[in-house]
Order: sequence, then C-alpha cells, then structure tokens
Amino acid sequence: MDRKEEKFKQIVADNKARITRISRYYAPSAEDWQDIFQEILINIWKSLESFRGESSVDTWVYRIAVNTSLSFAGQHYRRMKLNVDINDPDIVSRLVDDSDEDISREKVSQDLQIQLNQLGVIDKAIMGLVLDDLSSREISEIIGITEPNVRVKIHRIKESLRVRMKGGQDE
Amino acid sequence: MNNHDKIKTNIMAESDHNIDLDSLVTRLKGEDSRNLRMMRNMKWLFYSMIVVYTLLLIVNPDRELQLHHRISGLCYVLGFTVFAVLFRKYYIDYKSIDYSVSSVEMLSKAVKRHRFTFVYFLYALPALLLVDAGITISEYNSLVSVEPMNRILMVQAFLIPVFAISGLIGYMIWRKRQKPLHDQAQQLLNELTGS
Repeated sequence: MDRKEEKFKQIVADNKARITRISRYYAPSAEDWQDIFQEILINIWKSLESFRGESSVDTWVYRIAVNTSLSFAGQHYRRMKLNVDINDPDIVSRLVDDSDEDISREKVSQDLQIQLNQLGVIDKAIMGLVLDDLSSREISEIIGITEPNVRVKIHRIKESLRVRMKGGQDE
Repeated sequence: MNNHDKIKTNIMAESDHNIDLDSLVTRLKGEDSRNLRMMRNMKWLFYSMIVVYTLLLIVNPDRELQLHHRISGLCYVLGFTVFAVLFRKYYIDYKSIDYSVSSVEMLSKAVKRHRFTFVYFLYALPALLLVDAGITISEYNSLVSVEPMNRILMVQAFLIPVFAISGLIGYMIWRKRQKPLHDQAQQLLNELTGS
C-alpha cells in the first residue's frame, strides 16, 4: 500500500461518519446519498496531493463534502435537499429559535422537513453545517465568507424558518 | 404545501453502506495512471509532430517543393502548435478542479471556467491567422490566372465563413453544455456573497 492510499484510507476511516452525515443531509433522494458519498471519496482522493495542512483535516474534509454536494446539486439544479431526523428532540432548537410557544411540537414535526426543503441551495448547505455543530468560524472557513456574514445568514435562515412555521409569509 | 410531498426522513437511521473502499481505491489508482500516461503520450506526440514536420519542411528532398510550400507548411505547423498548447491547457484546467478550496473560491473558478468570453477568441486568433496565412500562401501560387488581390480575396471568401461557422458551432455547444453550469455556479455564488 503506497503513501497516498494509506493517507486516503486513514482520512476516510477518521471521517466516515461525517461524510455519511453530509451525504445524507443533502441527498436529493434516499437512493442518492451513496452516490454523493462515493463522489466525495473520489474528490478526497483527487485533492489529497493539494492538501498542505493549512487548514485542519476536518475543515478540509467538510469543504470537499460541501463542494461536492453543491456540484452534485448543480447536476440536478435545486434538487438538493436538507434531510433531517424530525424525531430528534433537539432538532427544533438547533434549526429554529423555538423560544416561541406558538410553534407546537406537532406542527414542527409536520412542517420542518417541508420548510427546510424550501430553502435555497446555499442556505441548505449552511444549515447542514449548523446541524453538525460547527462554529461560525469553521463554517466561514468552509464556505469562504466572513464570520459575521455567516452569523447573519444563519440568523436570517432561522428567522425565516420560524416565520414560515408559524404560518406567516417570509419576506 | 401538501403533506404527501413530505419526504421520508428515516434515511437518517443508521445503516451500513456497501461501498467497497479497496475496489474504489484500485479504480482511482487506475484512473490516475491512465491520466498520467495520456498526458505523457499527448506531450510526446505533440513534441514529435513539431520536430518531424519542421524537419520535413527544412530538409524535404522533393525537387518540386518551392519556398512558398515550405513557408506555407511552417504556418500550418505553428498554427497547429498554438492549438495544441491551448487544448492541453484546457485539458489540464478541467482535470485539476479542486474541491478542497472554500465554496466561494470553487464557485468563482467554476464561473470563470464555464464562461464564454471574447478572450478565448483572442487566444485562438494567432492559430487561425497562421492557418489562414498557410492556406493563402499555398493557394496564391496555384491561382496564377487570377489577379493577385483577387486570389487573396477568393481564399478569404472561403476561409472566413468556414471560421465563422466553426465559431458558431462552438458557441452553440457552449450554450448547450457550459452555459447552464456557468449560470448555476453564478447563481450559487450570488446567493453566497449576497450580490
């Protein structure tokens, strides 16, 4: 086994769960996630020689995973989804400011997935990273926009989700 | 919004995937070595053609071969050389798409890679002019019964439409294949940068 193969297998082994999660978040359908997963592995292989350790391996893997998913979405534009486990009890607090009592849990479970899939491709990509508990700094390194800009975008997306789930119309 | 549109979310449930890493690595390594071999072969084919054609032009023993034939041939060789360099550059650019940069950088490069600009025409212009010059020199000496200026105009009357039609076909191919990619990348970039 040569060095490249060894390094590749090590990175895949260390990040398998992460790559799987990202693939599942953004898969246009339940059947497509393995295609995204494989595409991410191929792009990790292709990018291995350009990895110079300027960012952490985690950030590097996230970049490849998100960019691959965006490119995958590009093939079937706007088919990219943001699939979440609506049975996860923490999902609302992670995606929406749930301090508002007007949003009932039942309504959330009915509408959350639909509303998430109404988001723009970039908003889905950002919220996927939020779901993985990444900080604004890490998201800004992956996406390439400033940290304050990331915070503003996340706030706007959450606010938009909250308004829509209350039955109101987003601006 | 209809509830029946709601997608299944149970795909988040843990299940083992069946991607065989060893066979994937074998396939990727095979592709790497094929690409490397192809690049090396292209390079040597390209160098050999330049050397062989240049030598043929200089030392061709054909007694009927006149100076204008050699100059015309040299124009073709130089024209094809420029085309070969351009194609090699585009091949390398397409093969080296980097997914490990930030999304903004990746999308900016995609927009640049898939756009159709006048600059591409400027890059190809020296090659077109050299091929044009080669054909004009060659035909100029065969159309002896026609006025000198008319000889040049006759060749151009044929070549310019050929180049224009080729350019139009190229543009239509770009419009069908590259433009959607360009527009999608641009839209995603606008969403990200807020412009």
